[in-house]
Amino acid sequence: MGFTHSIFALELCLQMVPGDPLRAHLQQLIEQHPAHSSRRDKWRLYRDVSQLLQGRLQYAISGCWDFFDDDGRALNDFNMWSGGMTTLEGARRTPSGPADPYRGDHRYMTFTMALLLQHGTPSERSFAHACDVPDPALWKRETFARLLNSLGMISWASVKADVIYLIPRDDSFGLTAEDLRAPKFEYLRPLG
Amino acid sequence: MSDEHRPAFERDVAIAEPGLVGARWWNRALQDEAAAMSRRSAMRNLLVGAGVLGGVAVCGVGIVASVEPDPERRPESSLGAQRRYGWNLGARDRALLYEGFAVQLQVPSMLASLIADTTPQTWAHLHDRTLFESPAARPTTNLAEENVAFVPLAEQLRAMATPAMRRAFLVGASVASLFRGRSPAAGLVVDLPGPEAVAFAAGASEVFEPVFGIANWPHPLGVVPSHLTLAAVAHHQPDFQRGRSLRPAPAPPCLVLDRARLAAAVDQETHFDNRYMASLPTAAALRGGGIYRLLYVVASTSALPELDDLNDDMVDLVAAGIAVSALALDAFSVEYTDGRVYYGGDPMTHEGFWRHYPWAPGAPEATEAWQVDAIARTYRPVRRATVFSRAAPPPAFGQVLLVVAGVSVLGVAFDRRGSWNRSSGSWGGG
Repeated sequence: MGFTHSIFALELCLQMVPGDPLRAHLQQLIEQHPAHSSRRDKWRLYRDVSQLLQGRLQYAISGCWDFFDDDGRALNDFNMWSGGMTTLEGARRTPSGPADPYRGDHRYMTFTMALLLQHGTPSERSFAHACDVPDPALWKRETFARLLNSLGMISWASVKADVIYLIPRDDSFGLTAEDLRAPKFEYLRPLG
Repeated sequence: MSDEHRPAFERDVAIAEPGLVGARWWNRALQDEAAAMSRRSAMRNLLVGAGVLGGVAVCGVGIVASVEPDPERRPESSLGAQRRYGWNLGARDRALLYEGFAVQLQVPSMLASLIADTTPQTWAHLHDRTLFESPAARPTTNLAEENVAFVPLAEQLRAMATPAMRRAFLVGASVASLFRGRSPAAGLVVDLPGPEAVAFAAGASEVFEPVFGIANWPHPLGVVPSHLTLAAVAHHQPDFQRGRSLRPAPAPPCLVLDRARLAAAVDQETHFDNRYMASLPTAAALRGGGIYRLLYVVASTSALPELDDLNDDMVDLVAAGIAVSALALDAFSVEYTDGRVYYGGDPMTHEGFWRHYPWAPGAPEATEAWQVDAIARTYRPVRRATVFSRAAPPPAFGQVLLVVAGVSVLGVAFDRRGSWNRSSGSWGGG
């Protein structure tokens, strides 16, 4: 056997606030991250993502996060999260049209990250400890904030792969409330 | 450079659709380590298996004879191997990476007419449709150890536009405006990076007939990024359709070449060598279509002289009486307030092109475009010794190393998934 794996994944669904540059900033971070990047580049990317998301958690309506240190599950789940990107599963194929926030008609975005980690390394173990969250706190914004903040403790030397994606890329393709009610988004938990 | 700053992660998927933007990266060091460890486990199992086989063989069954011979590496034409095993042989799990603004094809059904839209009417005999055959092509057989399903290139094809393409398109249109309604008996040879060459040809297509000379297929690990060229064709396909309907026939040719075709030296253990050499029509072929002059279009004067593979052809053309001159894109202005670009800097100098290239009697007077670098228009090809001679191509040029065991073609040397990789080394029995 080779080394075994763990996985950390996190997804947040946030309301798109007209005029707020969050979506554009996240898009820029993804698109401008180099095809060949160093560990330092990675650390900076996730620091920037973490800071942007932590600063807008009040607009997060739902989310999901996982940490598993079971090898089979880690590999399988990483493929699943990657598949969410490569199959464009959650993305709209057509524009959703302008929102009408005065009538409660908002648009939403999701931001997803998944990290396939080398199991058993010191930073992976430290991060595993940070992910040891009691059940009542699992779906709290404070927990997401703490996890995002804990990304900084991960050594990128022990990250085997990472995937990040943002829905949508264009403002006009924002998700509607009806989109989010589809079964494919059932895994997103309302945040308290 | 410290490890922290050394590129360690390699992107294998990048998606930029209106509905989603994202990417995935792999840590090469950990991938290699995992592969090595898995291989070590496999070798252990193999050794255990060999022990069992040995035991059986002692009993006289002769199973040892059925053990596969050691794999060998056999070079083969890259394009031939792609036609046989698929465009992305050895890398079916890899995605093509695009630049600039790449989007899904707005009208995927247009792909069906890609070959028709790019096949010339006047100059069909000089056209190479190799690149345009790739989107729909399917393998005739699989590599023996391939375990990823084949997906046609068409499904990974995007339409791409970049700022450099936009400029090339505008210059192409500007050149066409100079030649429209005149008969200087001149053709173009556009030798720019693939996407820009395509954009230039699209811009000029209302006057010049695009004739493609791109003789390779894209590959995810290809050293020549011809998928970008194809993505540019997809973007400009409506322009090619419009140009075909508007230009008078017969039209002078615009030979479209990809400047990246010779690329730098290739490590066949990590990359796919989809390089190729271009050629130019003979003087007789050009004269047969009424062409007595060729304008060699490059990005700037620093791109002169012509690339090595064209040297013999260029010199032969001149010797046979075809006048060859060069034109650099940077002889044209930046985008003017009317959205066009002009030879020499502005509309006043535009027709000054004909002073520098005095091929069109009766051209209107224009302010001298003195700021245009004279090097391009005084260019004359001179025979020189090159390594990219079609008569004697460099060793291993445009070839892929296939891993072969007996009559079985297992895979490609660079395919890290292959069980034959890292099969030698001191850790084998570890």
